[in-house]
Amino acid sequence: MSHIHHSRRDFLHTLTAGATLASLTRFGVSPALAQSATDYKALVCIFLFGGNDANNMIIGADTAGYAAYSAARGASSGINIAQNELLQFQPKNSTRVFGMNPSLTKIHPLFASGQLAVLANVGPLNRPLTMAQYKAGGDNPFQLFSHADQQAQWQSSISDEPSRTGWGGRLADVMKSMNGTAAMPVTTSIAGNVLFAQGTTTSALTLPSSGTFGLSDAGTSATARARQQALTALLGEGRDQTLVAETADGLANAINLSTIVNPVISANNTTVQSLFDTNGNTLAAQLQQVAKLIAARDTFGVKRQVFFVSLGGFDTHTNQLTVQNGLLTQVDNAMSSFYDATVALGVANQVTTFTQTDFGRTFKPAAGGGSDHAWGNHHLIMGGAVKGGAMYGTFPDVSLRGADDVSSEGRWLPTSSVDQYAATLASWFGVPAAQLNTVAPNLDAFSVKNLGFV
Amino acid sequence: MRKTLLQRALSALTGVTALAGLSAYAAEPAATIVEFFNAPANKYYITAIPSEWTLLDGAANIGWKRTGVTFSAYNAGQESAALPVCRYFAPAVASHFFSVNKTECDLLATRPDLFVNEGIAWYAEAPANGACGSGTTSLFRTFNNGNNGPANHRYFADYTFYQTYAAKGYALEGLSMCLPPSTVEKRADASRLLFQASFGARPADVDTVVSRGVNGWLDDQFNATASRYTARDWMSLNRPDTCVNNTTPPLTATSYCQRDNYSMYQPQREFFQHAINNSDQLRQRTAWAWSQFFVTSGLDVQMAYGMIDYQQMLRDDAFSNFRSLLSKVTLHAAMGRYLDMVNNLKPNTITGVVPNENYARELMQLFSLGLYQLNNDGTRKVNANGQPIDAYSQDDVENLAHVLTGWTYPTVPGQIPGAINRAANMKGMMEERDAQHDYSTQMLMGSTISGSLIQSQRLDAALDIIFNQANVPPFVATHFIKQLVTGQPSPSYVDRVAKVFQNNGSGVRGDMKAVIRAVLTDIEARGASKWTPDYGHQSEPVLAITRLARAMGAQTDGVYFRNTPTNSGQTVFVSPSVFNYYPPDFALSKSGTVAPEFAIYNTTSAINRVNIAYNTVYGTINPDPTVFGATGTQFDLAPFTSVAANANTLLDKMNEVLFAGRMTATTRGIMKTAVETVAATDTTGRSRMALYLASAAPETQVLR
Repeated sequence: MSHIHHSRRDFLHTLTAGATLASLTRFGVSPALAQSATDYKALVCIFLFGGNDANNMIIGADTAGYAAYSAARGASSGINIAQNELLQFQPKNSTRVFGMNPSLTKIHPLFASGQLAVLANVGPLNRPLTMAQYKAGGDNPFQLFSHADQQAQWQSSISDEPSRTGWGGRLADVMKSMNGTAAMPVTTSIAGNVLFAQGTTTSALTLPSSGTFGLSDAGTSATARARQQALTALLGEGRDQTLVAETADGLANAINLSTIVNPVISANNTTVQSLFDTNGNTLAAQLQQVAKLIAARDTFGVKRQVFFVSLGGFDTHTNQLTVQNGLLTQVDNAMSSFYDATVALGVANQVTTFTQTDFGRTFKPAAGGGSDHAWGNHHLIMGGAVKGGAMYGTFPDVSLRGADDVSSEGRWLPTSSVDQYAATLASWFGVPAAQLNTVAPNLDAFSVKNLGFV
Repeated sequence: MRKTLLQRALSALTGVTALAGLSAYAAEPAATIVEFFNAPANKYYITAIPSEWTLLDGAANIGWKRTGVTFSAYNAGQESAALPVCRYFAPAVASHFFSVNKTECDLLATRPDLFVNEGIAWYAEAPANGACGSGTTSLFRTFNNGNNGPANHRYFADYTFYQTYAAKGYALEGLSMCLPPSTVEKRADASRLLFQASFGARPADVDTVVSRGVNGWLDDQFNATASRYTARDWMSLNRPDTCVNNTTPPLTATSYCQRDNYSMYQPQREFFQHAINNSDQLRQRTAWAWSQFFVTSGLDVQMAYGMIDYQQMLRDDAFSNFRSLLSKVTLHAAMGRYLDMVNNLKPNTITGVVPNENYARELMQLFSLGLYQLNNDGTRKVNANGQPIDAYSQDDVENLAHVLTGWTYPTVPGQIPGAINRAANMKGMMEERDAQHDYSTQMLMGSTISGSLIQSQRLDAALDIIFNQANVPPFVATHFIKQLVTGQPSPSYVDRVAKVFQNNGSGVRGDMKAVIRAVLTDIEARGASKWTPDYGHQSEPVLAITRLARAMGAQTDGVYFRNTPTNSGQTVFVSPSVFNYYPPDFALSKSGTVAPEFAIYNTTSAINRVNIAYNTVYGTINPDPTVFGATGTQFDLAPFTSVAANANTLLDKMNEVLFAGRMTATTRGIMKTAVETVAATDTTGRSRMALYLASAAPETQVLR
């Protein structure tokens, strides 16, 4: 960890403390934040837990590209996808032809129609890194190839030390004022507690993907009222105990929010619900919930929302073809339904959906028809505002021990960073340039601040 | 004023150490110390002399009144390890002073002009190294030096209450002496032990712990026969078309073939049935803690028979040696499937396939060492630059992956063993296939695993290297402390338990019986640490519901409870990943307090926890018509309904069973108001009101 990173983090601290923020406002840097936004924007993070093997999601499909692919992942490798099964696409900014995993039949057309983009070989980086610098060590992300740490680095956009906040949460910290006095938090997770959604001054609403959200004890008899009053009073007791107070605060917050949110999620919204097939697809159920919440944005009085949904099971050490195809089919159905929902709600250009995952996977197959933990990976960005039909970043040289392999198993050294990925989305979301490094703290280390995909 | 100064000087002496010797549950203390307060004089006075109680009770006309606070102490000859507590009177300020410290008493004796020796007040234990021994009550002393009212001491057993006296201008003088617990205090500690070491206290369990003492109860629990899951036979991972859920009557044991064999339904049901009904509580609780350490998940294991076999193994070996557990967990076929050690073949130079690293990595990262090198007290070692030091390297992972090659599924009964068994069988231990083992000599964390050993010896060599790493004792100790007692153990607590892991007293490393006893009997588990603000841990969703069920005297077939914690983020045996339901180092964003269970505490789970309590207390749980042999759930509320006509008595019972004796007067008042809205004749309604509120209250959702 270099000294400059420390001082940058310190700067970040002062920024979020408010004093510097005020002084920046005085210089006219962030006047937009002083007034409530008139437009609506939402960011939706789809996290693929376990480490999605995008080496089998975005594949070189022309002769040279497929030859490079099959050099390591040939027909006998156990994880080969045949060339004629690939869903071909031609990025408008490339002469090369690529193919998507054959499971992605429904979102594949969105690439050609311009609402889907691919970001190639992105991953956690403290600063731009050459192979020689990686081998020398000294400023590599900590605990590469470890699930929990790499999930945290993707979600926090901080890879030189552990972080207690996520970049979605810090994005919410910066943008919260645009929601005025709305009680609804900026961030909503339909996938439990996640670092991504934890801010310095904001926390996420966490919702179930189906069913109601409120206290069962809703009776109106005198006894029921007494019971409800007693529970409310008990929330104020034992507050000198840290964990008791935290428990009480969490419950009080949940009860308050349930009165706002429950009417929305427990009501039928046929416009939205007719577009989703949630049977056996938890991601579709989550995105359906997101669509219902977006539909109620005016009820909640919010102009900016950040959502987190997830699908697990991508840690395909074995039996990858079957498992990943099944999972990507769910992703495909859920994403295309969600895009259709944003069109139906008239917000297709105001909602941008993007993927994250733990890490890429080794290009070299592992025993049992799978792959192991790696690093740089390819991701999808979807929405009407996306400059789709193009591939951003740099597709790696996929030869083992080649120019981009930090090992001998095909672990790609990322050529774009999570900071750049996050900052690009944050810029679109309305974060002023001067505050981008609140969201992506190491952004200053990269000369390109915006990857241009949205 | 001179006396005040002298008393101040004496106060400084109270830190002097003496031997601590009282065991947790010695003789019932025969002396009672009663606190009185005189409002006109604004003075407190404590005395263990019954004739003085009578005198002061008769002096109400001049302002003397009992405060309600009492402490327990020994009389002469009751306990050989107890020391006399001297009592001096300072006439100039008309105040009494008590000390267990001989040096302090002797010093007072040198100034008879200032202090009148009034003899021995009672017998108590002296603090050792600034703390009271396990099973004793810490008595803290404050002193008002006369600037904020008359010179006067007040003594406290409640640390939080003691601290509030700083704001009243009293000097907090620290630990004064250690008192033997009274029956009430013992019952409260028994209830706390049951929070820590069981799935919750049944009302009668408190009596059992009190009569047996902490160590006696632990002995009983260590010796209790393990509950048994119903063993299930192997079934093909590809479900045969004949195995479906047949809803046509009559219901038989095999009607729900698909549900019962191809999901975690039955393992979950039996988990709750045993946790709530059976008496081998510590074994089950320990097995549950192991299942959150050596994590497998129904997401991959899928088959009920395999999960049952694995979880039964964790129960049977819950108190065995850690090295033995490492072997069994590593070779169990369910783990083999979950983390891909099964059919992990030696490198194939033709296909370019290399050994799978998954189990090798998690064995070190999660099942034994953790990411970083640790001191014995669990703190991280750092290098010259102040950075943590990796516990193992990527090379170690790759090398270990080679050593772990050549194990295949157990041969399905009735089938012929294959060169590699492809039929997934997750029952029992994986089998050796040395033709698939990579015999290359490998280095693991600086030790050599020779190519001349046979396959099983190479596995043993690798596990021995791991078992003997210095990280293992603090890593395992920390896990059990966090699971059973507190998310914020002091380094010295971890160090004490880790030392027992290193050596159980008979030279054995890894004796889990000794480790668990050390965790539960440590001064930080039983003593005054419980009063510190960030002590304890939130009851995880499973414990929250089993505690309520056991308090309600439930007898259950487990069907209803099976799914209750799911919406709170803890579906039993279906951890979302090998990282368990929640990470052990999760910290609150506000305070940085390590509180792992809060990783799954959110707006959804906060409400769900309370709703599950409501539905359990107020609902009726009939036998599920789709479950063969279902009996539903019956509650026995008699311990509550029998006293519910009197709200205070009902709340006393609630205080003991669900609050571990720590219900505050305000909380009691809130609950009493609600209980009394129900007619005194409706004893079930009153009991339910109290049970729901007691279970929903944030004060009982935290185990401390």
